[in-house]
Amino acid sequence: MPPLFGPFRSPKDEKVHLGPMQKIGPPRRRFADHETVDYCIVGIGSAGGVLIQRLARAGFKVVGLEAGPFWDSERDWVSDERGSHELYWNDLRIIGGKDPLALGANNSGKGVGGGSVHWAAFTPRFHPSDFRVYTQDGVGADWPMSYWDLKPYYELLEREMPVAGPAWFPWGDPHGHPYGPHPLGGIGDVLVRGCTRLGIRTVAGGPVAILSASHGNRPHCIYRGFCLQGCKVGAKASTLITHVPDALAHGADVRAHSMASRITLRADGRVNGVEYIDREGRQQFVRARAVIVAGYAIETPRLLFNSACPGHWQGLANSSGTLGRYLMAQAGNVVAGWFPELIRMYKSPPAHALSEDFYETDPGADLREASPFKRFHLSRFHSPGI
Amino acid sequence: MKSLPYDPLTGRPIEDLEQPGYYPGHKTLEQKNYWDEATRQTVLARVVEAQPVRFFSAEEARIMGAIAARLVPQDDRREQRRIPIVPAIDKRLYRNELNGFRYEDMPPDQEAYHLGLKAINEMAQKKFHAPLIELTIHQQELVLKSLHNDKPDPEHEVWKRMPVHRFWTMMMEDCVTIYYSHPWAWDEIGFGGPAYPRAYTRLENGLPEPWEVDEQRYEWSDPVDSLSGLDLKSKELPRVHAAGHGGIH
Repeated sequence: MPPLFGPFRSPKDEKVHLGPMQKIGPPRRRFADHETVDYCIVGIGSAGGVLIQRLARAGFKVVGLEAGPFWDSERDWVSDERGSHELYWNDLRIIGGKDPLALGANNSGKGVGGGSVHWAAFTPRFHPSDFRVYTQDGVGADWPMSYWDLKPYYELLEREMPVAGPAWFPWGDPHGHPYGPHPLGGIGDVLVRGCTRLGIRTVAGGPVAILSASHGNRPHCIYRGFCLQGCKVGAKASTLITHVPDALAHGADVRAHSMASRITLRADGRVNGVEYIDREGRQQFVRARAVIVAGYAIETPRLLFNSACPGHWQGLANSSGTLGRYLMAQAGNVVAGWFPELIRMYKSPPAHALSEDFYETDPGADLREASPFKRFHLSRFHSPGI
Repeated sequence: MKSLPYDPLTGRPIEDLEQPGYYPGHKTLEQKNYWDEATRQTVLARVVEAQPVRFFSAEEARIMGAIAARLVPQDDRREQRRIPIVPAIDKRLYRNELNGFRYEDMPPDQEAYHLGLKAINEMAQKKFHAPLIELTIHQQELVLKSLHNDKPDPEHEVWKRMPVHRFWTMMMEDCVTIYYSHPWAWDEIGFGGPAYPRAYTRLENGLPEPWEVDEQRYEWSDPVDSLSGLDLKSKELPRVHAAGHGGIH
């Protein structure tokens, strides 16, 4: 059996140095241009990465088109914020309106794994009440399904990523987590101490999709703090290291640096395949029986608009005119504080302690009058990419 | 008179420091052999001696230099230990490295810098009858503070075409990002630096890793005529320009 951390490589000056800790095999399979595949997925990120694995395992011929690179975590990723700029979708987008949404590092990723490469891996479940917000709070809309419909999938993914956290998470539908909680970092410690003084319940050490013990060929967390810059360790779950390797092992064809430009239809109105621009700027085509667009709430509508054709002049899947509207990114309140003692908040995962004591609507509380928001996540002072 | 932070006990100015901050002897670069190769190359590339200025004109570079010296003051640092800000902004603009978006009411970043620097210099000329780089630090701060406050004083036609708070935020973000991505700034704030593959092991209570240093505070006061210092004394909290960004990335 090979050693857990793979081959050792000494640096030039003979200082002690571990690594590379883990390697992800690059794509191997390539369907021929004349072949018709069962599915073509546009965007191999959080959603597309899981889908391609499921479809490949089920025996379908599936091609994944990803605009960004297939990351080599050892070569491409660094323990450095400014040096991690390439993880984001940096192509110029013009933003406007009354409340323009800053893009780039704020949300979308570019490269296999997509946004899951730079998320905080914070994985709380929705509460059963979240699915009935209109009925209960008079805001938003009720979901067409219940928490209980979704629950088996939460449980499945929490094992597949897997998620580390407390054995007893007391809010919503109480549940535990497959991997044990992480040790408390300085930032979580401050939260737990403060909440305890105020009588607010907390949990610590998760839930996060970050390994607290090794899992297969993935080592556990080393608390270096750069979760949002791509986890070089391989401890944080991203589809690049969770589902995509399994997809490749089951015959999926993942094409990096492939920017989808248009979905084309046949004369009978069924989908024909996807045109894309490859790394060398050449136009290519994947012939497919079905196309799945999983390119985030900006690139997905953009591709559907660009695919307008006779019979679909407003773009594909847009008979209602709703395409591209109601864009909403993750919202969150940020509180920053100064403490007399040193915190060293750069260690540990950004989000690893929280309270959901104020989560549920309490009709008797003034809080509801003061604020229309339902969710109060007391996590780290900044926890983007939930 | 040169505005410098000073020791409130002795009244002596604080200047010519090899390493400002509360972590004497903490040198992240000394740990570079323990970093992975990709990170080492990325960080060391920032500590090269002279970098070219290719986007800014010579005059723009001088104006930008004076502004950067107020946004991230380095007066307490020894000349050779000052973190170069202007060449790094210049590099971003020269290479057109974008952050993935532009506000519809803003020109491209490059044009924004051309316009903004020209406007700031002309504001200095109008208000104090000299170019920005010839003003006292206090005068420079008065001009810049008016931009920070979203109330340009004196007014300038550029700010009717380009929202001043957006330009200010972009310039501030560029300066702060560049300053705090330099290992000398990490030494100053006690940041332990990259820790892959060897890990951080002391997570609670602000404890130092074996290669980190305990905080050793010393008293210091803002320069007597610093506007940010005056703000703090008058209990006016510094304004944060959120502008759509969810905090630090």
